[in-house]
Amino acid sequence: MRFDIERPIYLQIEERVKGWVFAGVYGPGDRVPSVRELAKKMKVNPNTVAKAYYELEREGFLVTKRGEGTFITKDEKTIEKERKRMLSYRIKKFVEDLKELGINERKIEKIKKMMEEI
Amino acid sequence: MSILKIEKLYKKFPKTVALKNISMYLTPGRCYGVLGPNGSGKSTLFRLIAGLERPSKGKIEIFGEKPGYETKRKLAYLGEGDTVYPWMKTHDVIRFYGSLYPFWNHGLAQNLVEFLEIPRNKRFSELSKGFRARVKLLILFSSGAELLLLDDPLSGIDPASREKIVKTLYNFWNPTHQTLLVSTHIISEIETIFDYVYFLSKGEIVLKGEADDLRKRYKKSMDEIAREVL
Repeated sequence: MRFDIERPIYLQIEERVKGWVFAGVYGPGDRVPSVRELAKKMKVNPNTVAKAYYELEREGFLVTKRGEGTFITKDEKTIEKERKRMLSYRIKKFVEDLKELGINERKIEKIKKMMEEI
Repeated sequence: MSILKIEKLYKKFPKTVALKNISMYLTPGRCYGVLGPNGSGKSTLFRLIAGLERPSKGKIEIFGEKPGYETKRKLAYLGEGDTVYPWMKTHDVIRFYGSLYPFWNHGLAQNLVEFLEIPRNKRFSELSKGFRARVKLLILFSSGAELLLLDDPLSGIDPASREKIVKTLYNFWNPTHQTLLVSTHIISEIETIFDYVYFLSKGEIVLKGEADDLRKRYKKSMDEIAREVL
């Protein structure tokens, strides 16, 4: 996997794992690869994956069961909340891009409303 | 407990000072990078840690002991030189080093012969530089040592072997048993392996920190930071 090596790697792993869930690669309650498996696959230091998993657990997005592995949370509310948070973050960035491109305020408001209905 | 502790280390040669006021602290299960251009003192530092040379001033402790007979069994060192006997074939290498290291992992050695595609019937002296480097890496990872020193493992190696070496680091490093200390001047190819990095310039540490923290602070890759500070 390619990383943007100018940003902390663990944050990008977190985003990637969340992306998998939003895209339906893994559903609620599914087992995700172990730290070592994912580190090999992504060609990163296992400690970095462990840190990303730790953060995701703290957010309630992942759950580790001793001796069984790591799983996506079964709590769909947590997933939905996170999806909304990331969506609004992306919209904010997109709106900034639009401003930079000289799109006028009224049009931007229109686009924003359309996107928030998703 | 620290795996390696270095305090105010100096190494002077008759005409130059190779290392000035080096302090480092390594904890278990992490990968540390020593990044710097050729001639910055990386190899001297590694030779001192491996116990191949003595410091002029300062202290080195490996598992709480001075470099010597006891610490040599707990660390494995891969340097520029060819330390393997030229007549050895792969099975000789495995038998010889297997008897040398008390915690040698025979199964891992066999897996690495496969993974690194090391020819079984060639003598060490008949191998290309890239394949000699692969054999040395096989010894390092199979040694069972807790501290692995890799001094510029990619230097002067052809691209195919470089890729194999990098993959071996990612696939075979086991943080629960091993701590890595890797020096390199080719940073971009292994920049995601480091937990913590020391930037070395003219024998001094000019910058150090957690790799992800430095990325956050500088909004740059290790490679770009190196070009800025070195």
